[in-house]
This record gives sequence, structure tokens and C-alpha cells, in this order.
Amino acid sequence: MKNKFLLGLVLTAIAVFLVACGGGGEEAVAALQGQVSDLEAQLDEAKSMAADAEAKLDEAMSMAEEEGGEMAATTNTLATVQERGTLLCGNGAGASPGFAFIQEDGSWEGFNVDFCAVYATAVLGDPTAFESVVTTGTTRFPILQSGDADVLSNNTTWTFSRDTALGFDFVPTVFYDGQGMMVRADSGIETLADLDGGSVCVATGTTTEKNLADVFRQLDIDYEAVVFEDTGDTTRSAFAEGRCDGFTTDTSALVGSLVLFDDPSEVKILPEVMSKEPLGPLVRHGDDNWFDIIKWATNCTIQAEELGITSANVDDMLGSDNPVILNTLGVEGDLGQAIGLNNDFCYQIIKQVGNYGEIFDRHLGPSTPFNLSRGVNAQWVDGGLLYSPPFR
Amino acid sequence: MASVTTTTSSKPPVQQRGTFSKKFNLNYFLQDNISGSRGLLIWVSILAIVTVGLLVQQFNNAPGRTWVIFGVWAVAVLGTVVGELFTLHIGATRWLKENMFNNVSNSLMTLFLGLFVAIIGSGLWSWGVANATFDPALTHPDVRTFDGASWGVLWGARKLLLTGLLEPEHNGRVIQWTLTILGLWALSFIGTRESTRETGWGTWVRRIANVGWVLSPFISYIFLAGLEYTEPFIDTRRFILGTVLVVAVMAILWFFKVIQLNPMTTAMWVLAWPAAYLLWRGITLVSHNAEIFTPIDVDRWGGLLLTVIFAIFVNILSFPIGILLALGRRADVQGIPYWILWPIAIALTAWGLYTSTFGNCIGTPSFLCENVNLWATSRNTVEQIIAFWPLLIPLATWAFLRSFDGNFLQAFSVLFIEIIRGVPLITLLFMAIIMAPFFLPEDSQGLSNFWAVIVGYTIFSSSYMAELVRGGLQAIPKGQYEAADSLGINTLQKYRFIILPQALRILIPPLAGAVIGTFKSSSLVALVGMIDLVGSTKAIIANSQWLGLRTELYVFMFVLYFLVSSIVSWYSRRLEDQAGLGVR
Amino acid sequence: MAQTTVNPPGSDANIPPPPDEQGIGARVLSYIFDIRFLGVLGQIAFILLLIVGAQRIFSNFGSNVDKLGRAQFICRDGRFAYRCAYDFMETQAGFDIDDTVLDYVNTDSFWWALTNGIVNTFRVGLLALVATTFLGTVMGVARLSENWLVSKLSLAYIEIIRNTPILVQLLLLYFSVILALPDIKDAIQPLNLPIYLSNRGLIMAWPQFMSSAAIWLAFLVLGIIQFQVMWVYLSRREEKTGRESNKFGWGLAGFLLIALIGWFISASVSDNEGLLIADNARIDEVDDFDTVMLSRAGINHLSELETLPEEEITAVTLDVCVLRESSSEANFVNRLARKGIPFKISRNGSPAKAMDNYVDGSCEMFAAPVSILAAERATLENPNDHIIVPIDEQPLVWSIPRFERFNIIGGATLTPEYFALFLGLTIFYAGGLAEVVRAGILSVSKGQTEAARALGLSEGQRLNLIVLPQALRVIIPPLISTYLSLMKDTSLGVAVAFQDVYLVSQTLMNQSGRALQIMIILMLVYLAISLFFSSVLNWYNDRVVIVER
Repeated sequence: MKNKFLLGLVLTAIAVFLVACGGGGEEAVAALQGQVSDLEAQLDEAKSMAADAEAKLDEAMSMAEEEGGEMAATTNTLATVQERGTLLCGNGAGASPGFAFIQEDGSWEGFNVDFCAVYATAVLGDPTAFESVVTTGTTRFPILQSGDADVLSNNTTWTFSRDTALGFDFVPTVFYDGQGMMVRADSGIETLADLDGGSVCVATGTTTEKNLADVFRQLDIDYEAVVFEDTGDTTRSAFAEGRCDGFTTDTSALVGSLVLFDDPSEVKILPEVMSKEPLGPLVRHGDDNWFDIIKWATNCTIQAEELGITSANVDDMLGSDNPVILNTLGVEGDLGQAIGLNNDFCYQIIKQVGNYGEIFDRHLGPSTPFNLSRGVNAQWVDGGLLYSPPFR
Repeated sequence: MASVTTTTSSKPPVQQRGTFSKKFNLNYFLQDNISGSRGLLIWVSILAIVTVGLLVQQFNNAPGRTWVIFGVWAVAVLGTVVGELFTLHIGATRWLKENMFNNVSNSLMTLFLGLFVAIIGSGLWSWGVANATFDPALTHPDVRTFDGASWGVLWGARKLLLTGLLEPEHNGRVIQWTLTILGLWALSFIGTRESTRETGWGTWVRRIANVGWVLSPFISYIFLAGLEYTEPFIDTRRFILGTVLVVAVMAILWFFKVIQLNPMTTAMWVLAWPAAYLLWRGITLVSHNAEIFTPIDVDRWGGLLLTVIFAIFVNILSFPIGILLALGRRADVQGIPYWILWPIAIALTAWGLYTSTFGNCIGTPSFLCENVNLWATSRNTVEQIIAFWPLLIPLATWAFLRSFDGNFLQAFSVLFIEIIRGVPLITLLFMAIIMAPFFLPEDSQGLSNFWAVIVGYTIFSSSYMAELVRGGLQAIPKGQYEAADSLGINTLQKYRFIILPQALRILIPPLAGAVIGTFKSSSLVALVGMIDLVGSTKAIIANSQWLGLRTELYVFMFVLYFLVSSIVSWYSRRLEDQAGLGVR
Repeated sequence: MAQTTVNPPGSDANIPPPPDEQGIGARVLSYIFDIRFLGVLGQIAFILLLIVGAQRIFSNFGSNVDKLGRAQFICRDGRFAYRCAYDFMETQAGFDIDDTVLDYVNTDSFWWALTNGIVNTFRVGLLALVATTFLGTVMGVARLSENWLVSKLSLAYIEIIRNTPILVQLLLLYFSVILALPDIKDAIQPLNLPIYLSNRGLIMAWPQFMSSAAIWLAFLVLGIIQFQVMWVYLSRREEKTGRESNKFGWGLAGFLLIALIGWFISASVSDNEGLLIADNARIDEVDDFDTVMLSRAGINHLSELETLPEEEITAVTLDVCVLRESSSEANFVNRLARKGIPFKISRNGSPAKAMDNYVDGSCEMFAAPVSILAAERATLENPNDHIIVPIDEQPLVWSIPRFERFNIIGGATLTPEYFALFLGLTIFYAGGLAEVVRAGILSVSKGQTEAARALGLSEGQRLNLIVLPQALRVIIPPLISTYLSLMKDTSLGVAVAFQDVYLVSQTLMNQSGRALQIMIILMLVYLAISLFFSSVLNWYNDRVVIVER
């Protein structure tokens, strides 16, 4: 009998232990109960009024929902990142040369990766204080939504539904692109309509896939779409092997992939542009301050180029007499503090990473194998689309 | 087709060596080999046509090689025929007769397969060896040979293949860890050899190795993940809770008479957690101050390292869970009686029907509210039917009582195992990567991809393990269970001392299969974006240096997986021998 | 049920003594500490623990769900409700699925896209099941062959395949073998048959049902009934008279006769196919093409066409508009090809588009079903200037592959993706199955074979009546799990771009952003497939397998 009492004691101890472990949930439960009782009170009121009970009910419910929504929205990404000490930056599969690319020693490099460095500098003051999170075309959105990444710098196209229904906020576009079509040079294809009866390789999970369907439906062309799961090199190699007659993705990526062909002169890119593809970083909807930080860190690089500030001359510029430059670099005004950063965040970005033009040239410009021209990605003063709102 | 060239009579006449066989009869020969039945005739004709066709084609394409094969074949056939007809068999011709040329169709088959192997083999040879380059400097598309493989990529990209994204400065630690594990393996290998097993030093070697294996998870963790020091040095809550937990386990085991307690062992149990905890914290502090084992981010593991870690982690985690699930599935404990279940089920049904059809959200968590209040908002017939979902509760209760007699342990295990086995691994991995963070508390730091995949993979693997273990438990003769029961020992004792020791011995071969299976399937994590061995290909072939050298990498992985799997299955056979399987 | 358990195993040696010998407190205690009571208590505690866990997960999810975007749950009427989480499935999919058997265009709904994915999964899975069974059996038997080379080679196959991951095999097969096949321009064409193997897949001639096939199929059914009747009649007669007759032969002859009659009847009564052409083209029936072509080219016999220079042939070539993937195309193309008349096909997505081409003269005629032609003719400016020439059809026509600009058109295509997945699954699972088959055959003791021989059974009887039933007992259970794994592994099609249900749902997830909803659907689909297969196979197992002693 003694044994059994002992067992009882042990069981009680375990129960207490479990309850202690589960204690963290009590507050949540209490909060929930509070909400429920609020809801009940509102409901009772609504019922007693009895005028339009159902409408009131819906209203009450949606109010309760919105309260929950605001609770979620108040999560402070900036504090989280600063506490963690690293920024989680979604960077794709690491197989798009020029934009985000895994080097031989396992480190990342590219245009998009440098923007991660820009944000890490702005928030943490250290351009290496970020971690590249590997995403695929399918996992990128859930990874950002769930908080496994703080920002996605991933050549994601800014569209209405992504901005709204998926709950994201797009910061200013860093790369204006359009969808292009690559074909073999000896195929005799001059326009998209010539692809009638051909096969086109396309990656799934992209706006490209849908554009292709839209454009070709418009042209009433008979074609076969060969859809690959990966935004990596799979689609391109299938095209290179002769699986398809055309290979479609963003023009910049097409140009970038030219270096990956055994003989780049075997292929050509059709002049037609099938769609608008504004590519830019994006963050979760709901944390406005975080959105502001990413937005203005991006604008900082653009503004600096417009003002002629580079990483080389930024220290000289601190002594400039141009108030616009002084505002931008945080010498004057408290712009940084308004978004929870140091006032010199823009100075640090330019100093440690560089302005937009430098980032572009470093990875895509004439000194690289890609040799992309700035085109529409030039400053507005040069006839391009890059236009930063003033730092004021 | 089992007929042989000579019809065996019951007593073969003694015959002089070297004289023409008296048994040979052309009619019988034809009947046995060609015209015996319609099927045989068709089969031999098809085979002959195909073989001759291939032979002719090969004479045109590769005359030298084909002549050699054909010549060897012809000589062997001739030798066999002569040996057979003139009773002149020597060892070699007898072997040939029995194994390759015992009838016409088999002789043709031998020639056909010989040619076939030659085609495949020479193709692989010329691609993989004769025309291949091995210099890492010769992999760039400009200087590469396109006739054969460029194996230089394996050396050039070794960093990505072996450790993926891991920072290069940690390579040394990975190498040290690999050597440690290999050393342990060597020790236990030496310790368990026939010649050393009985000697005194062999016992010591084995003991050291066993301690090493017990510690190996911690060693691996220290080497591969590093130690992060956090204040305070001793977390009182963890310290006390851990001790309480260990003591509770001890008490339960003791209560069920699985362990014996004396002051010495009691002290060991009670002090186990404090000692281990202090030791661990001490190592952490030392390493922190000396900056030896700085923390490594688990998401940077990659390449072969990641593949191996996955296999080890998942196998270690899923084995105990699998045993629990299997025991749960076989547990015949007293079910929950119907007079408890039915009132609850009816009450739930009534409440559900009320809220979903006529009622409103009162008493329902707000996020479920819209789901529950179905009737009022239904838009079509389907949704109106769905509003009556609470009627499923009595149905489920009835099914539960009928199939499981109210035994919830069994029901849970069965459902868990069958549901998990019903979906592909890749959906579970995907679910884990994208959905797991949504199930964690809102303020948590999220779950890194690595841990998410480990969780998803372990869930999958443990349900397969459970089925294996269940098979092992079923293989134990019923008499053993009955004998154990008749001894009057309790369930825990029965499994600990009688069933599991036997079952685990039987389980060695299937478990080895499962370990290999886990290792092989870990390649699927590449499909959800992890940079494991297979996933690293993507990064490698996108590099202009190694552009498109896919086949080389895939072949390398193919061979690597094959070698590792073969070694594991060889090792399991050795273990099996040592465990004396089948020897009762 | 609780009371029926007489001697629960695992019960401690705690059988309560007769009640009247104890005090009330001891009695209560003895009940409380009864292992059965503790078991029930433990289970209830376990359930409560699960409920608490589930509640926490749900409440976490409830507070996290806003991260998914509230707009996901907005209904058509603008209200917010979780019930509307699946409304998006009815919107337009907007992406292509190329390799489908059901009719799918990118304007169809997400549901329909998903359905096509499911059909694709079955399409590759079921064929792979059959092929695996075949190859696995062959390999298992080969493993036991008395030929050393055969047995060792199949051993090598089994070991290599079983010890490497299926994903690597698939990738090798797709990228290094199938995509390395010749380009479509240099497609391999064995023995000049209409079969083309290239890195765009395996394309071969394929019979295509015309609309008149319905009548013919009715005749075929009639033929089968006739076969049965004939069989029964002849069996009865055999019993009565003792005269043996070739039942199968007579039945087959009758069937063929009916099928042949049906063929001609259905071919002659149907007038569905037609050709819209200008009245002044001097063509009233299909045979007129010969004369028109002769006069156009200025030759006396069609075979002289080959001697003409290429420009002239191009000049006289008939330009024909057809509807894409229509049966009219195969029918008319066949007819022209058989006559040796040069033609050029322009394929159109819709009748309106074809009529545009017809009106602006880029094609001289439009081949389609008569009903469509009649409707379209009415839209012309002067309908009476155009006539509809009837084209006779047969119930089945060969759709023969022909080269167009980029691809081979017509016939049936096995895409490289389908091909790779099918082959990969077959090769991998046949390796495992071979071992199963071998174990099954070995499990039948040699004595059984010898006993069967001693009974004087023929080889076939021995196999069918003695060996197979016993071997199946060992083979079927692992066979079932092989089949189930194979069906699940069709999801690996994602690695080789085959649009099965997994890849389609990945695409859906991207285009809609609704990861959770689609993952739930996907899991349910796979569960349903698994349950369906395991119940069918287990039912078969129970029926076929002989009862163990």
C-alpha cells in the first residue's frame, strides 16, 4: 500500500511540474477570457437593443478580430532584430548570378545580397550582420509571413494581390525589369508570335508563368509550357539542353544567365517586353515602423547617388554646405530617430556598403560579365525611374 | 527452361573419358532446347533474332570489341560442347556448362548480356575515364572537354559539397568531429572482433567505445553547433526541474520493479542531473572564455555534413518515438468505458449543434467563431450540410468504441501512424517549413529551417519505425508473452526484460534498412530548399566555373550514397552475426 | 466491453481480495489502485493533455493567422470570415498545365487545375504500378536464374538501385539521360516507324476516336455479347453431343465479323466532318483534290510532284485551317497524306480565329465538324459563295506525327517529364519488388514442386495451382506497401517538372498565396489516395491469399 501512496505522490509531482511548465499560457488565457467577456457584454447589449441583432453581432465579431489583428501588428520587428543581433534576409535559392549567388566558399554575393547589407547597416550598423535565408519560389512568402525572415530581398515582383491579399508591403522598387524571352539564335524566331507551335520553359511560382499564359492567350498562339519548380538553374539548363524553344523570365535574369551558356552567341533575347516587373524588397504588412526603416534605407542609396555621395567621398560630404546632403547624412535634423535608428544611418550605409550606383556597378555593371546598362534603372535626372522622395 | 543438354537417366553408364557421349541424342536435344513447346520455340526464336541483330549491329559499330566478345563466347561454347559430348569436362568447362551454357537459350542469353554489358561499360568507360579530365583547372566551359566527364569539379567544389554554407573557419572543427566519430567506430570495431572479444584489453576497448557512443551526441553538438554561454551560470529552475524529473523517472522505474535501488544507486540517480548539468555549464564557460567552441548557426550546415547530420539526428530521435508508438499500438490496456464516453459525446454534440446551427458564438474562442456559426451564414446546400458537422462526434465515438474498445492509446497510435504514412514525406517537410512557425507562440523567434525539417522528418520516420518495431514485437512467439504473464510480472518488466531484448535483436536487419532509408530520403530536403548534398548541386552548377557539370555531380552522389548504404548494411550484417540472430 | 476483459495482461498482482474482508477505506483504495482504473485515468489524462496542446497550437495559430493576410478570408460580399478561406479556388487559375488528359485551359478555375493534377498523378502512378510489377517479377525471377550472368546482373541491378536515393536516380535519368537524347530535329526513328524519340519525349502514331466511334463502340459491345452467347451455346452443345468445337475461335470470328460490319456502317452513316471551301474552287468531294492539284501543278500524275522544284511545290501546296487538337485535323491530314497531296496546316485556337484566316485568304479551306462550319458559314458576307464539302470518316483514324516548325504535331506524346518520372519510379520500385518476388518464390519449398511433378501436373498447372498461391501469400503484403510508397512518391515529379498534384498545388500556392489551405487539400488528397489503395489491395489480399495454418 505504501508503494501506491508513493506512486500517487510521484504522479502529483509530475502533474505540478506539467502545470508549472504550462504556466506561460495563463496570461494568454486570461487575455482571451477578457476578450470573450467583452464580447459577451457587447453581445448582450446588442441583444437588448434587439434592433438589428445580426448586424451588431457581425460588427462585434469583426471588432474582436481587429483587436486580435492589432495585437499581431504591434510586434516590433526592429526590437526583435536588434535583440537577435542579426537580420534575417530572404535571398532565394542562391543560384541567380549577379543578384544572389552562393560562391565557392559558401558565402553569398550579389545585388540583392548587398541590399541585405544595406538594411543590416541601417539597423545594426554592421554590413555583415545579416543572414541569408534560403527560399524557393514556393516557400518565400510563407517564410516572410511567419517571421522566418525579416525582409525578402529576392527579386519579387510588386503586384496588387501580393501587396494586399498576401499581407506584404513593398518598399521602393530597386530594379525595374520586364519579362523577356530567350530563343536560340538559329531558330529563326524574331517575335513572340513566331513561337507558334513551340515549347517554352518557365519557372513556377513566379509572375512570369502567369504573364506567359496571358500574353500567349492574347496572341492566340499554340504553345507548350514546360513548368519547372525551381527559380534556380533548372529551367535554364532544360532550355540549353533543347527541351524548349523559348526560355522566359525577367530580362535581367536572362541577361545574367547569358554567361552561363557554353556559347552565349548561340542564344538571343527577343526585343519584346512581355510585362512590367518592378522588383523590390518586401516586408510583412502591419509593422509600419519596420516598413519605414526598410523603405528609407533603400531610398538612402538612391538619394545618395542623386546627390553624388559615394562611399569614397562620404566623409568629405559631411562638411558640405548643402543642407540636403547634411539632412540625408544625418548631420542635421533627427530623421533617423523618428524611425528608431541612429541619425547617421544613411551615412553608415553609404560608407560601408555604397550608394545605388555603386551596388549596381559592383554586381551588374560594365566591369562584370553581365554588363547591364542602367536603362530605366537610371536616376530620374538621367531619364530613368529611380526617384527618391526628399530626406527632409 | 530447366532442361539440360543431356537427359539424366537414373543410372548413367560408366563411360570412358574422351569417347563420344552415348547419351547424346539429337532428337532429344532439339526437343529439350528448341522445339519442346510452342512457348519455348517462340522464346528461343525471339532471343536468337534479337541477339543476332545486336551482334550484327555491334560488328558494324565496334568491330574489335565485338570480335573479342564473340570469340570468347564461341570458344567457351565450343569447349563446353566438346567437354559435354566427349566427356572431357575439366573444372572450368563444367562450371561454364552449369552456369552459362546449360541450354541453348541460356547460351544466347549469355552472349546477349555480354554484348549489353560491353556497350554500357564501354560507354561509361569512355565518358568517365578515357575521355575524362581530372584537373580542377579544366572545368571552365572554355577549356573543358565535352566528350567526357570533368571530374575536376568534385575537387574544385569540395567546400560546397562537403559543408555547404558553413563558414570556412569552422572546417577544422568538422574535420575533428569526423575523426572522433571514425575513431569511435574503429574502437568498437576492434573491440568486437572475434580475436579480441574475449581478451581483457578487448573488453576495455569496448567499454571506452560504449562510453564514447553514449557521449557522442553531446560531443557532436559541441563540435558542430558550438556552445553559447548565457547568464546566469546556473539556471535554478532548470537545475531543480531536471533533478525532479530524473528522480521521478527513477521512482516510476523502481515502483514497477524495473530497477533495484540501494543507497549507492539512489545517490547516482539523484546526483545524475546536477552533475551532468554542472559539467555542461562548466564546459560552456571554459569554452566561452577561451573561445574554443564558438556557436555555429545550424542553418549554415550544408552539403554532405547536413545529409549526415539529418540521418543521425532523425534516426536517433525517431527510434524511441517509434518504440513508444509501437507499444501504444499494441497496448491492450483497459479502454475508457462507454458510460463515460457517451454522455460526453452527446453533450458535445448538442453544444456543437446549438452553436453551429441555431446558436451564436457565446463561449467559443473568437478565432473559431465564424467557423462554428455555420447555419446562419451558409450560402448553399453544401454549407448547410456542413453546419451539421457535430453529428460526426457520435459517429466517431461509435467507431472508436467499436474498433478500439475505448482504448485511446491504441487509437491515437494507429491514427498517428496511418495518417503520417499516408502522405508523402515531401508534403510533411513542406508543411514543417512553411506552417510550423504559425503554430508556435506569436512572440517566439520563429523556427529555423533546419529544426523545422528535423521535426517534420522525425514525425515521418518515427511512424515507419513504429511499424518496424511492431513487426519485431509480433515476431516474438506468443508463448513468451504468456510465459511472462504467468510469472506475474508487470507490463513494464515484461517488456523491459523479456520482450524488447528479443525484439531488438530480431529488429537489427530491418532497422539497418530504416537507417539506410532515412539516409537516402534525406536527399528530399533539397526539394524544400535546403542546401544538402543534392541541394548544393544547384549552387555549384550555377557557378560559371562549373557550369552545367550536373551529371558528374549526380554520379558522384550516386556512388557516395551507394557506398555509405552498402557499408551500413554490411555493418548491420556483422552486428546481426554478433547478436547471434537465429541462434537460440 | 470493459467488463469482458477477463485477464488483462499487464495487470499487477493486485487482484482485490473479497470485499467483505476489508474495511471500506481499503476497498476504495484497492479500486483506485487497480491497474485498469489507473489505465483509464491515464488515458483520460493523455486526452486532456492532447486537448490542452491542441488548444495552445490553435490559439497560437489564431493569433498568428493575421500574418497570412486578412484579405485571404474576405468573402465575395466583402465580409470577413474564415469560412471564405476556400473561395479563391473558384477564381481563374491563369497558368498552364501542358500535359493533361482532361480539357484544361488557363482560364479554368483552380479547382479544375487541381483536378488535372490529381488525374496526372494517377496517370503516372498507375502505369508505373503495372510496369513495376512486370519488371520486378522479371528481375526477381532473373535473380534465381541458373544462368550466372543473368543472376549476377540482376543482383547488381537490385543492389545499386536499392542503395541509392530515388531523387538522385530521377535527376540523373531526367537531366543526364533523357534531356541528353537528340534534339527534336534529329529525333531517333526506329525502323522508319512513326515513332520519334527525342529530348521532347516519345511521340508516336496513335488511334484517335472520331465522333462516329460511338456507333462503332455499340457494335463492339454487341460483339462481346455475341461472344458470350456463342460460348454458352457451344458449351451446351458440347455437353449434349460430346462433339468438341473451337469455342474461342468461333466466338472471335463472330466478334470480328460484327466489328467489321459495325465499322462500315458507322463510317457510312456518319457525316459529321466537313470542309468549308469557296464554291469556285471546283471541289465537290474529296477526290476532286487530285484533279485540282494536277491542274494546278500542270502534271499528269501526282507522283510527278517529286520531280518539281521546291518553289513550285510550295506554290501549289494547299493551305488548310483546322482547330487545334481536333479530330478533324487527324482525319483530313490523313486523307491528304495518303493521296500524296502537299498541304500546310494552320492550327487555330477558336473557330472565329480560323474564319478570320479563311476570310483574309491565308488558308483556302477550313476543316472542322459540319455543325461548326454551318454556323461559321452563316457569318460570312456571301454564304452562298462557299460550300461545305462532306468528308467521310472512319470510327478510328490514325493520328500520325508530322514535323511542324518547332515540334512534332499529332500522335500521342509521352513528355520527357512523364517519361522520366514513370521510368524512375518503375526502376526504383522494381528493385525492391524483385527482392520480394525472390523471397516469395524461395518460400515455396522444393518439396512442393517435386510433389506437383509426382502428381503429374503440367508446368503451367504447377505454377498456377501450387507455387503461385503459396508464393503470393508471402509476396502480397510487402507488395501492397510497395504500391503505396510508389503512389506517394509520384510527388517527386516536382524534381523533374512533371505536373502532378504536388507540383500543381505548388503553383496554386504561389499564384494565390494561400499556402495553408492548399497544403490541407494536398494532404487530404494524398490520404485519400493511400486509403483508397490500401483498402482495395487489402480486400484483394483477403480474397486471394490462402489461409495460413
